[in-house]
Amino acid sequence: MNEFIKTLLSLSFSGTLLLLLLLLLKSIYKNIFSKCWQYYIWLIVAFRFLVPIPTVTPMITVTDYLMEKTDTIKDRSNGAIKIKQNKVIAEKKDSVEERKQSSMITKNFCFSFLWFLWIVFALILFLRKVLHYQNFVHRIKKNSIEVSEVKILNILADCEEIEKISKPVELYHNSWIASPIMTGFFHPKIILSTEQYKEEEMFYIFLHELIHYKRCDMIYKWFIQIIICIHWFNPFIYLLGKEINRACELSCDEAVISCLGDKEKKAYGDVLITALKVESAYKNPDTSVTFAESTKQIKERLGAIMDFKKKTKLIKIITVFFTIAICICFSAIGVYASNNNIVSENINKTRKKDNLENTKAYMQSGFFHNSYLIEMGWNLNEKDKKSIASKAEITLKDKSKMTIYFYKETKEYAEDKKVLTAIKEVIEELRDSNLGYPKIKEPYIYRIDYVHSDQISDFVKKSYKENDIIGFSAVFSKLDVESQKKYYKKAYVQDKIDFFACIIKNMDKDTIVSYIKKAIKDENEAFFSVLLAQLSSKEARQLVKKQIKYFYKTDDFAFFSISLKYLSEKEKKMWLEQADKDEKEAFYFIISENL
Amino acid sequence: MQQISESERILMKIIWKKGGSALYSDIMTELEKEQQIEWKKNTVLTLLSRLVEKKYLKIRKIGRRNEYIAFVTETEYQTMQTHNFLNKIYGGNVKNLVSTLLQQDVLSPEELKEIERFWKEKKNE
Repeated sequence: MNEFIKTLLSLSFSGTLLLLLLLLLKSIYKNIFSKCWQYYIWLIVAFRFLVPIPTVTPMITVTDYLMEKTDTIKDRSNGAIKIKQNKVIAEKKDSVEERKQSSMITKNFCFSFLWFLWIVFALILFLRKVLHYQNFVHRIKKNSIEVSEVKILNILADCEEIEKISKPVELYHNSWIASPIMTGFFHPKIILSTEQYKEEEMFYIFLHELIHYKRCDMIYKWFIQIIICIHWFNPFIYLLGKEINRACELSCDEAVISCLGDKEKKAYGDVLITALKVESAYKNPDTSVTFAESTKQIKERLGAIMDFKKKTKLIKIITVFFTIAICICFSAIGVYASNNNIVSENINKTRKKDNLENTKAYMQSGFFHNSYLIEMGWNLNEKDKKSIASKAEITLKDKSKMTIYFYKETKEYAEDKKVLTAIKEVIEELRDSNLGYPKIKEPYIYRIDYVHSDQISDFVKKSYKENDIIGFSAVFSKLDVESQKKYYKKAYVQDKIDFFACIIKNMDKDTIVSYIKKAIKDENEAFFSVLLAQLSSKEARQLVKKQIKYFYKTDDFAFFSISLKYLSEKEKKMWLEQADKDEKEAFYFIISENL
Repeated sequence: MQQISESERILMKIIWKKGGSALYSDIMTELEKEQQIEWKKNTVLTLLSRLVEKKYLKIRKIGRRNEYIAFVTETEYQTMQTHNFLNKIYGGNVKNLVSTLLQQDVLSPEELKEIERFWKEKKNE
């Protein structure tokens, strides 16, 4: 539901943008491009209102730009952080998840309500239109009399021949209508008013109506009506309807007069005026095709008739280019689509850059070496490579050369020999260490901080306060043991699992075990899991074996499932049988998932 | 049965003349003979389909061509029209019609005698 409403609103917005753009440009193209083009170009707008294809080409659309803004605002308020550092992933605590869930429920309810409201209105509107039209047609039918004069039918037959219509169209006259109309999808019929038309007049009327029929203008108009029903809440959509109605008549006139001479054009204009009479109560320009309806429109049409010029080849070419331009706008405006890759919710909060995608492909870490805190990233994608401010070349100990890239914030260090040496040594250490770092080929330096050995504890304090997890964890290892212990406690008590997870690699075994016991007592699964991961598999197994019985007895699924990962297959199977015997279905399921 | 227009009647007459059924092409040929007005193809088609709808004609397809068969005979039509005329103009009163015919010299005394004889024979059947 949410996705649907979001997509609908986005479609409405995008469509309106394109609609307004085209309307704005109308004053330019009104007298240059053919009326026919001006009629069909609105199809592109109609599809922009209807079709949720995000973009045809790989460009950043207006919608993406707008959505990214609102999404990052959302991110900041939710406080969602996902940081990958080495192999440890920090997780949020359960109570925050619960809070999120209850707000999700109210959100879902609101969206469902909106969806319900939308569809009720849309359906009612559509039904009304259909019923109104049916009613109109029915009443007209009742009062319509067949035209039987052979002379008139012959004129109609001639027009049908000119327009190459094989099946003859029925002809009636009716005293209730003001101007000739055409109705019916499957059995088309032209209905004249009871005016006494001259033969020539009838000829033009028939031509006009038959062209409407041939081009399936009725279907086009109904299509637009459906879109209007879908976007009933958007005031601009009614503009679209009006524009298209106007363009419909103008383009039909154009088609009729395209093969007429001046004298005949004048005659056609005369017919228009004759056909414009007292407005009847039965006008319905949206859903049926008429000959002449409002005075204003007549003026426009008369003007267009006399000003008609066959379009030169140059104009035709310009038209094509313009159409392509409109299509590009269609694409550039874009639309919201769920699972849009460019707007990903896992934007790394600590980076101030835009357009960071896929934290998986992007590796970044902080290193502290020679009193320099170096924040480095590598394996970036093409987009981010463009914001390079400076670069430097270093020679590693194996004589290979490597280019280091600096951003705006760090470009001053590109010339600093000491910094470059520190970077070089860090890279060499990483390569030798086999800690699972992928081969670094193109490192990017985000940040350099000089932290003197006296300033270390102040720096750690500052980064803890300012939530600078990278700086904090990089320098932490240089603290004295007592201060470290203080921070373990602080991070645990303040529930900062992300900080905790980064620094526990410095803990000794006994500390870890004591914290594990604490985590079990405090029912803190996240901390438990993270701590357990720090032990060697043998140590972990020993500990788990002792505790798992307790978890089983107390029905502690979370702890049980975390512990289960450290058991052997044989032990897991034993527990599976146990769960089966005790008929503890939930446990059975958890264990079987882990086998 | 619905009323048919003058032009439709002309078509019916042609079909009746052809013995109650005619192909479209036959009808067109007959119409071409009539030199007063031109009959366009679609005009004839429209009128024929109206007749079919009003149940005066039936279509039978012979290969790709259409054959139009009269559902109503000429006599039936005349009877129907006479009844309509009688009801409309004379309020269903035959006597008034006959007296008009006589008075206006539409009907001669000899013709009237013939009618009386005809009527007597009919009664005795």
